[in-house]
Amino acid sequence: MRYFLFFLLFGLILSFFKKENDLFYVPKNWPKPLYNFKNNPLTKEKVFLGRNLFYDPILSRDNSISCSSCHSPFNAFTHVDHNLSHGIEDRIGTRNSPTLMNLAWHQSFMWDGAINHLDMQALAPISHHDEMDEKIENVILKLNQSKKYKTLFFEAFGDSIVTGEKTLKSISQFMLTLISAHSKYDLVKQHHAKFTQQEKNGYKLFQKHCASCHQEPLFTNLQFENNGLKIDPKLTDFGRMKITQNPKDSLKFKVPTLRNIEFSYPYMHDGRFKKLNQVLNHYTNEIQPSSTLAESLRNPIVLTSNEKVDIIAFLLTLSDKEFLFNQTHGFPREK
Amino acid sequence: MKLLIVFFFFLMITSKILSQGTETIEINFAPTFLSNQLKLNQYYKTNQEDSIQFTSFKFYVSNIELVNENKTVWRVNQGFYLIDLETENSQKINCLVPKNIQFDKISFDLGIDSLTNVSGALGGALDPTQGMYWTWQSGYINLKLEGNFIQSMNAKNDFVFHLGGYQSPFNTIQKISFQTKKQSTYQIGIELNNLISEVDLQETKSIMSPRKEAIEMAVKATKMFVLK
Repeated sequence: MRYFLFFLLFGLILSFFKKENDLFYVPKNWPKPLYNFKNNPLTKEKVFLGRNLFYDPILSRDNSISCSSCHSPFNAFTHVDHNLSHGIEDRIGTRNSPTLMNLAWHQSFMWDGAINHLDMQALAPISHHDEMDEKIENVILKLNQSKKYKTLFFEAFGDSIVTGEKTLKSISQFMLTLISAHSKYDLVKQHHAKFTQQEKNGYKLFQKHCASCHQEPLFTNLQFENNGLKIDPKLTDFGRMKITQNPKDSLKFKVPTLRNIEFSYPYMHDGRFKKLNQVLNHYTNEIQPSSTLAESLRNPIVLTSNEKVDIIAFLLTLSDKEFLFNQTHGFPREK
Repeated sequence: MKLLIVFFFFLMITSKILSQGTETIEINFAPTFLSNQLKLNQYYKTNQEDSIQFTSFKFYVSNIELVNENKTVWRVNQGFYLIDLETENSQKINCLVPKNIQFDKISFDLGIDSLTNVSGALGGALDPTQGMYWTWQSGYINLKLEGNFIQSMNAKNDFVFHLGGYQSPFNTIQKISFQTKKQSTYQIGIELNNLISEVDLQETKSIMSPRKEAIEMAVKATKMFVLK
């Protein structure tokens, strides 16, 4: 009897862990995630609810655009072909939508870190005039009137009443499951694949010239840096300074991850570069000196054209097809 | 099994002690303008003979503490209250405190502390649908005051004050405290003229982000609160 109970308990614990692993996991040798899962423990039903909300234009004022309009799964959850993302009634914003992946490791969100918690992130595009132009109060009204969502909220929370807290936490739950850690680079690190000579050379150059900001394994140090871009006279975007009002943060933007960079063009906060070689040319030839320029860019980076090709070859090993074509991240057709 | 029974009794006893040993302290907030009870969307005459109207007035009260001889003797945990003139009964707060507790001071925060500000989505009074959360930059609005005023010669002027900000150097949360004897009910008056008369509404019409002016106004806002 005692053994039976012991095994039952053991089985329960095991099944609990398995359930967690299906939704979220920390890839080998990665740091501890920053998201506090205790306040919002992942469940299959909540993730599914969040996924439905993510793909549903009900979040926008005229039911025309959804999160996925600017965060498409096939592009590492960003918006390709547009330097500046556009929202409701084709209004054009001032920045390039960022990719969404490995967000449990991020402390702040947006190019300027305006958002301090993943749960609160969705509020910004929902309310922004040029994005969804809707009020969260109204979203909750719409969801409360929807039969589909009443059921989904009941299944997720055991209570069909929709609130702001539940809605935001569910969207977080879905976003937390977007983990990209199965690129060729990751396989090489786990000794399941080998770099070509060119990729190897590119990796070395990357570590020397790029890795201080684009730190492995997330390929971002999650800090705000001025990477020496010329100021766009139309956008006059000073980045992080708008949030902190500290001149030391002038022209600083959050360092983006380079994972899946092959699919997340165009590049930079305003999407000014369409191709990776333009990005590398910027770093070798076009750095604008200023008092807030990143420390690591103060000495010129010198690269031959062959070396640039090698770096790009390495960057392409960060593509994670398993992530990009993962059905469980896609539009929720069936349960 | 034995353990379970013991535990059960323990639970019963402690809950009994707890229920016996508490009393309620009621705090009522009574907003006024020049001593007239404040109603939204109604014009009042200022001391300068201008007309003023308030269309929205709401603020957060949190971290209510009882202090005795400069020592905190009780803190109302998880107590976040949204006082909203538009919502009936929101001006009354009931605090459950231990019976026979002695204190000579009541204090509370006007606004939301920085830890709560970075804790993600929260419910109840803190739900972002309450209209007290900024969407373009994370953070709670500690106090919202909107309205308009008419100076004899001028057209109507709107004013909008959304005071918030939790990050240094723009932390706008304010502590308010009153020396007091123990009572079961406290009436706290909120005289809006104490703030309005300190602000040049021609000059300052809107504050809607964390900045120096928001802190300055939040400090002035504390002067509205008077224990009656």
